Amino acid sequence: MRTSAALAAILLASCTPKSAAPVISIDGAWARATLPGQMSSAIYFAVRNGGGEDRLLSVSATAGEASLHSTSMTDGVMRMRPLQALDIPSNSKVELKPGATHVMLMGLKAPLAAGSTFPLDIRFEKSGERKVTVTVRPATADGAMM
Amino acid sequence: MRQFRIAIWALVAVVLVAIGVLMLWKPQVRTASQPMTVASSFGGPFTLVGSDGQPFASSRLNGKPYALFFGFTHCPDTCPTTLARLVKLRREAGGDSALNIVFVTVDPERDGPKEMGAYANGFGAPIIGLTGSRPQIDKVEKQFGIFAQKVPTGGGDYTMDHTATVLLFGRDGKFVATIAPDEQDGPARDKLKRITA
Repeated sequence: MRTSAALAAILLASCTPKSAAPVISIDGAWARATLPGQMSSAIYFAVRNGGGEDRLLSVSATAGEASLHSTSMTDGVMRMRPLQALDIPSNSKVELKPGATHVMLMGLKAPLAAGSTFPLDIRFEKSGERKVTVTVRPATADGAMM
Repeated sequence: MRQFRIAIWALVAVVLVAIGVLMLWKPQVRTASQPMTVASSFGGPFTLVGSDGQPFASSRLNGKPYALFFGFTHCPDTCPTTLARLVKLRREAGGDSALNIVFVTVDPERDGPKEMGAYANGFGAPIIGLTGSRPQIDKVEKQFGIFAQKVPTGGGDYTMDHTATVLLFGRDGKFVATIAPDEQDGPARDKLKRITA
């Protein structure tokens, strides 16, 4: 029964043409509280797409200067680089998480306190602009790497 | 024909010498893929600067195992994630006092004693934040095979590429193991349990 349900899901998924309209939802947006003296942080969230492919083009926040970055690890060396855009394939879940792709937040106007929230605008190529609320988690929040 | 044979052999000789030279000459560049992890020269005593602005000798760490991590306070993702994880794993493995967590900056130009102290205090558990002069930091990076490089981000600002591997040392100050950035919590916790047991 479960197998057939999974099969149906796969069939259904493969039926969505890449060119179909994307069906985007964003959840679990959070940022790490700033540490004393720190004026930068990172934002993480998950993008779910139940439709055709899309691309995340840019992010902006009034709290500070937001930009899309990738973190890569090669031989234990962490490298962070700006990302021009992030592909959101059809019927996918793309996760921004610690130690991987994330939104870098630089030049914060005020420290981020645990428990507070702030808005973030996310712009997609096809789905246009989405506004999400980012919840600030304590600096000690456990976000497993990778 | 004879001349031709001599020319061929001369060519072979030149190629062989060239190969020999290339094999012997290895550029002494410390790249990410060639970290300086020669066992005999790895680690050793060091002196840096504590968050009180006073010299901090590594001998002060003797008697308790410690985890050594290099990073910088302007680091938005990897450094707070790694330190938060170390704090959590230490708590699970043996408690806050079972192990010293030592955070050394690779960015002494921006991270002075005050910055390191405030940052290290932000995790709700003891972390020893250390900085030093540029030569002092360079020396310690070399000692522990740490790669670090500034990457300009425009407007005079910069971020840093750096080794994010955590180095673990026993009570006697001897290097025991590493925790890789992408290592699962389970094996990482087991390593901490082993060195604090």
